[in-house]
Amino acid sequence: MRTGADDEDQKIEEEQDSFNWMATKILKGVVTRYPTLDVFDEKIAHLTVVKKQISEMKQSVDIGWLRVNSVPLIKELEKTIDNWIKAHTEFLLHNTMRQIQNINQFITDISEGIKVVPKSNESEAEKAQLMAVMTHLRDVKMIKEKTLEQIDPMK
Amino acid sequence: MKKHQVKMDEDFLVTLETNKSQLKEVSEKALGPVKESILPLQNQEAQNIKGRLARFGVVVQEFRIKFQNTLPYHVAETSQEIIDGAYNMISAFYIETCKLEEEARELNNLETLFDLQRSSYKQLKDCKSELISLKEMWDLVALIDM
Repeated sequence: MRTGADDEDQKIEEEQDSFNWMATKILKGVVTRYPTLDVFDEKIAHLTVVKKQISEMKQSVDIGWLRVNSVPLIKELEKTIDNWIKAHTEFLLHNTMRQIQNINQFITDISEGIKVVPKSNESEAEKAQLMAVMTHLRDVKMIKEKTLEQIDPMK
Repeated sequence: MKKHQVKMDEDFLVTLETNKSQLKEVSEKALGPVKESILPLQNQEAQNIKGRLARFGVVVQEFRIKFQNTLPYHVAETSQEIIDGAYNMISAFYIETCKLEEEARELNNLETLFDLQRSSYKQLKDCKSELISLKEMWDLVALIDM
């Protein structure tokens, strides 16, 4: 007899399966464990503010008889901040590009895979073809919604 | 990325939109006309799979009964020979449980492919957790007997 706990277990397993199929198709080579886009946004915005503050610093400061030229320091700090901003944005860009490549590949695989549909399931070859088509249909069913959900935030 | 002025190919957004519509299009084709055209074959094959599932269900049930009747749940007396025997039995049943789990995974995959209700094979999960408890119990028995 199935219980509520069994149904809950099954839901978790199905969710895991769905993620596993995503992992083998759309998320191949894609980093999935990273902070949310909001956290990235916040960090990049913070670094941009710091960069602005640095650029507004005085280029020379007089301390008594000594004039300190802070241009090299400012330039060096700006370079460091730029590198940090670049590290964050490039990570997102590369990850997104990889995901787009995978989505393209997935679309091609499915389009090719469903072109020929078996007419019967008598021979072994036809059975294998049926299994291949069914696998593509399963992949579409499992992956489609989650993939579509991910496209808009990529912009 | 637009917000942070990340340099991207000019057609990046176009590519994304194209991907989105292509994915929708190919999905609709796959889950619509293609699925419909193979539905009779799918139903036939699903019947074969149901037969295989029923046979496997019996195998799992019989294995569970054999498991409960054979494995050393109780410790009446201990000696090195009894302890070794218990470990060997636990190992043998562990290997057999893993083989059945492998087959269960394969059948679960077929169930998903052919839109059948997924079987949970709770008996195998129970066997696995009891094997772990039994191993721990006999580890303690062996430790005390040393």
